[in-house]
Amino acid sequence: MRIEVRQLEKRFGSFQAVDNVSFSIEQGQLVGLLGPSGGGKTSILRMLAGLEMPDQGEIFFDGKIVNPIPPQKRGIGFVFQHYALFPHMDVFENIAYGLRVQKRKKAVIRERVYELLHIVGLEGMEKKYPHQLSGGQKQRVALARALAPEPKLLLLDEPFSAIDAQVRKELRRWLRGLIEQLGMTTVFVTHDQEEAIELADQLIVVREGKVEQQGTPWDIYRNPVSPFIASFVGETNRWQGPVKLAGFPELDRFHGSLFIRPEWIHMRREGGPGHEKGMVKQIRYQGGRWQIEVELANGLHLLTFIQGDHHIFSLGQQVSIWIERALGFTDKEVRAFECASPKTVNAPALSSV
Amino acid sequence: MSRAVMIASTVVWLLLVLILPFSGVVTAAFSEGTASMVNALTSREATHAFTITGIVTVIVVLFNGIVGTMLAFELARGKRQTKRLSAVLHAIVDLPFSVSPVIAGLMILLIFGPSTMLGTFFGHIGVKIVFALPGMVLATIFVTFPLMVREIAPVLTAIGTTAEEAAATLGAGPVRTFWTVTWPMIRWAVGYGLVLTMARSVGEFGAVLVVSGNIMNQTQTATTLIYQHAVNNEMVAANSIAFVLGMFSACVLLVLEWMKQRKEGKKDAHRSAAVGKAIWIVSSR
Repeated sequence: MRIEVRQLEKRFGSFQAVDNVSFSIEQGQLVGLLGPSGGGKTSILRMLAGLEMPDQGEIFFDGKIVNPIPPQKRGIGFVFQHYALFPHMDVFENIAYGLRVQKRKKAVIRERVYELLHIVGLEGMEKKYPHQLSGGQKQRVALARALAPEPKLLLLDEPFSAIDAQVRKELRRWLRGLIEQLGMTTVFVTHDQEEAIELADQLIVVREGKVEQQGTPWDIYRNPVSPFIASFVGETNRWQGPVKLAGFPELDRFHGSLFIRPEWIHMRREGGPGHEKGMVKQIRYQGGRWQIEVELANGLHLLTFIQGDHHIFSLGQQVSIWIERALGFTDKEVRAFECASPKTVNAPALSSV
Repeated sequence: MSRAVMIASTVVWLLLVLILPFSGVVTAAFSEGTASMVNALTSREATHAFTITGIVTVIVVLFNGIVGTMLAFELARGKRQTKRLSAVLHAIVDLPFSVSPVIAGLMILLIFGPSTMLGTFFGHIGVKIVFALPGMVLATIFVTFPLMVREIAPVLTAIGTTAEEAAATLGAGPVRTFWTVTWPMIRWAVGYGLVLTMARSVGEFGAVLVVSGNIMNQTQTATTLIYQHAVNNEMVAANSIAFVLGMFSACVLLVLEWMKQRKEGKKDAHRSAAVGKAIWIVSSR
């Protein structure tokens, strides 16, 4: 299903939850609505579902306006944050609910429920009640229940927020595979940027009720349009310009915020043209990688990561820093600064994450 | 040691306030043999009183069952503009808990009494409210009104609306959603509220005494008949009826206990509060 949203507005009392939001989603895409809590993502999702009426603006499904259509008739599947399973029905009845509403034949319902139990990997659990299931299993039942009536659009509200970190990663990968396999247009809400980047084809970053940026995770990560996105999506070093930085002569005159991603920073034992001198101030092991804080000669601090398990740098060690890229934000513009000095130097690179 | 003392004092307390009085009732009821007890229970005024109690109870349970449930929905789910209005509504619902039943009866007398405007109006159209069944029903409704609401509203708040929203996204309309999703989650609370209302209606005394005028064979209920027998020093008759009401209370407790089992392992806090309330209501006769 293709979705288009035009100038959507929603107020709750004096609180503007959604403020002039427009975006479109292509058929078959897996789209993440990403943003801080209370930013209006869930309200947008609920308006797509028809559970909330927009104060203004239009929602189109396949070119047809759906504003007056109630949730029952929108052809959607919705997975709630806390699953909202029917506590008095067993797993079979929960999944069969939408099919029973459609008055399908008993044999058809049975077949479809068992097919879904197989898809979500809960064979043999059909007689269990929701309170007998783990969080991950409830999540799978909720998903199967939403998928049973064959919706054209799947909506997921913070689908992994109530699940243990370990299971969450596994479930995420599984869900991604499942949705790819089904080819269904899917919109999910999350405040977890890591989850959003890993799951989505397209991200819509929402903040204070407004769409801040839409694009692929790669786009948004590499070319954020605002300081907010630069700091919300991914890790980053933030400086206030102007600064003196080797390889970036224009930064002498740049008045604005500067963002440097850890992976744009390369640490070496020996320097060359376009290198800054620095000293290792702190080293933290983070399981599979080292987080290293370096103080540059000009007093600025930088965080970067080095993959691997070996001790390469030690505390207080003098190092050379080569920065490949920096993003500058002023009130008027966004600028990407590339290092003027070439990367090729004699000293071997010890890190490039 | 202190534990044993506490258990012992609890047992003594139970003995003093519950078991001793009730065995007193039983002994007194049977003191002149089963025959005179049966006589007392089958006399014209006794059967009439039981019938009146029954009629009042049935009407009150039906009325509160429907209106109380709807009000519980309104309180738990209604979209109100201000918090203050909400607080006022809750206070109004709880009012009968804090107002003495006798005062409730007096209020009805003051509003619908023969010399009042409303009383005159209803008198003209041939409806007698005070010293008749309608007044007694009104009084009992007032006294029992919070029971349904206070049973159902917390459950509605606790279950929230997401399960109903889930049903809507699965295509179910409001009626289907209510009967397949909402009702199964609140039915035991509704049943509980109904049983409590019934117990309280059967046992109501003060408000009914004031509005009924306690006219024998007309507006006398089981409880006001006990009162009259006691005043007339007809202790066998008084205790016989008290014995029947006591047995009824015991049955109500058993039903509540059974319903508690059915309410499944979840809302423990809510349930024990309800049982506490039930015991209080049944034993406050």
